Amino acid sequence: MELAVESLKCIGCRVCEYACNYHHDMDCSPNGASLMLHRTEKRNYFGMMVKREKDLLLARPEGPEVVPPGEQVEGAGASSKPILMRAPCDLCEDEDEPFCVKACPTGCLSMVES
Amino acid sequence: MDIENAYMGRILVADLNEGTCEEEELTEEMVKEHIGGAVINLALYKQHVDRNPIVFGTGLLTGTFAPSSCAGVMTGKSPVTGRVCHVPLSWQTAVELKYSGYDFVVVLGESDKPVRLWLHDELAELADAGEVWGRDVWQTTDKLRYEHGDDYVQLIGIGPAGEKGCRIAQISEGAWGSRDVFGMGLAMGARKLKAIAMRGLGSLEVADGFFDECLEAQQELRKGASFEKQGLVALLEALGVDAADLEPIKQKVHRHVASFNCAYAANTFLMIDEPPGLLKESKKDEPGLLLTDPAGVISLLFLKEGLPVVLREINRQGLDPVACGALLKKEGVAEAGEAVKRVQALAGEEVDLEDAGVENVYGIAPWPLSEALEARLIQAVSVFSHAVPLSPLGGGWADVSVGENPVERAQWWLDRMAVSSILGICPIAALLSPEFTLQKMAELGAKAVDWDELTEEALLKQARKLVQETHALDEANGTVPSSWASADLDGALEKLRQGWEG
Repeated sequence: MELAVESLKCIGCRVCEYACNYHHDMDCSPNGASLMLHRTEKRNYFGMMVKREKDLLLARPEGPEVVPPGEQVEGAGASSKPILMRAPCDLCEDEDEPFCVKACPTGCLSMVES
Repeated sequence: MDIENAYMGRILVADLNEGTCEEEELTEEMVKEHIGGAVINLALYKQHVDRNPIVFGTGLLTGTFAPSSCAGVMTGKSPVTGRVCHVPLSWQTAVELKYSGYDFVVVLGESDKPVRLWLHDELAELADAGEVWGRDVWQTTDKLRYEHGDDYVQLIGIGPAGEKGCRIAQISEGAWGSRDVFGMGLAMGARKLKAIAMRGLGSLEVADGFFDECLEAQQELRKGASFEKQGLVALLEALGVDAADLEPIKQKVHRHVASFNCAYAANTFLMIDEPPGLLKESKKDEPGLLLTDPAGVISLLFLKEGLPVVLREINRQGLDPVACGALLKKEGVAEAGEAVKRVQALAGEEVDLEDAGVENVYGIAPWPLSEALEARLIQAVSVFSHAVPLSPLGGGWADVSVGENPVERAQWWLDRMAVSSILGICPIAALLSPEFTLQKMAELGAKAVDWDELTEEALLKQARKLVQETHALDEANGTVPSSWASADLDGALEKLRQGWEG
């Protein structure tokens, strides 16, 4: 199973970041989450970035892009860098369902067969 | 009580005359006495009343897993109505304030040169704002985010209108409009406070079981009929705005955007200079705008296709769209290009709605839709912002089991606004979900900080006290519109007051 992001369902509420961090650090904050909302506010361009074991998933509105380690992403500014330093998503091992999926209010995040 | 589950434990007192920032502890005793949000704001306001303070605060649940916990509140004396008001903050603003390390910020006095406040990682700094003074809201937001090297810096700021003494100046939340109808943009401008910029890496502790209880509550809310739709336009439809009037906006809808942890995306982005269906990132820097304020949009609907460009200019100048709509309509300015020019000029004028012959309640533009007695009653109380709709959204009054009595209706709305301003619940969500009862809100608050005494009754008592004390602080300047004045209104207002006092 793997985490799927249907980007156009995202409304940018960011609760998934806090839920993910709660799995990793047991506190309320977005700081240690394996996923992060990328947003260029005035263009209303937004989508989730997911740090995975072997790569980075950029769930862009126009379609997902998988970025191998070390590759530069066009348009990534300083605000996007922290995701590279985060712990990779472990799909909330030991839980019945990943916390981000549980918390997402729109079904943007789900588990699918890999 | 586990206060660290809700608050960072810090109050910032920024003295603009002295140019100093001092920290005070937010104690458990204060939270036990006042719970949070607007009630603590009001206590801090009273404590410093000689210095004409403005207080920015977060609710007990702001920035937690509790559903729709996006809200904060700004409290101060409106330079227009003369009354103390509570303006809701939403978007990511209040959450960022709390996570920057400060639960409450008290701004005292005034500066003799433009300043800005920078809050980050438990540090506070009053800095020179000469470089952004004179710039519009969007330029200021860009400049401060660039300066701090972070696109996710959140801001409460003002545009040229607030700087130049315009009485219909609105505070902004980042690039977008806020729900300030009280001229608090002028309150900031008169103090030469251009912006508060916030960014933080703070964190809160989480009570055992709180996360799961919040998710269950959120799932329960999402079963409500309102959640079959998203966006600001659907809210306007629910309020009874004519579908034909909304058509020009609908054609430009890009994507809906939620405030922090809100399952209902109450904000809607309109594309102006790109096709609305654009999925790729625009090459243009400023292709559209975010609609955040139902009342403002309703006031500007007469501009038809011209609404987005005019509202964009209103946001840039830091003006209240409700008042701008009323003025433009009165002046017969309906063509987009002409309206944009008029808006730019308005930012440099004092603008007195009474002198301009625009219907106003204590000098501010009224809620543009409803002529119902309860709506007038709420505005006569003039404590909470009527940029937030004055009735339940979605199912209407029957859905919240409130009958036809205008006093009961007004009381329901005031209770909802007061409780959401204490806990930090989005005021739109509080009107949208009848399932989100005050009892449920109290339960989540109690669970969050392990405090059994936070019951629905205790919450309601604080809510009524908040309205009563705020309302009693000052007499309003001006009057309600002559067309409203009636024995019915006076009688209903008296009954409301008796209710709080009883």
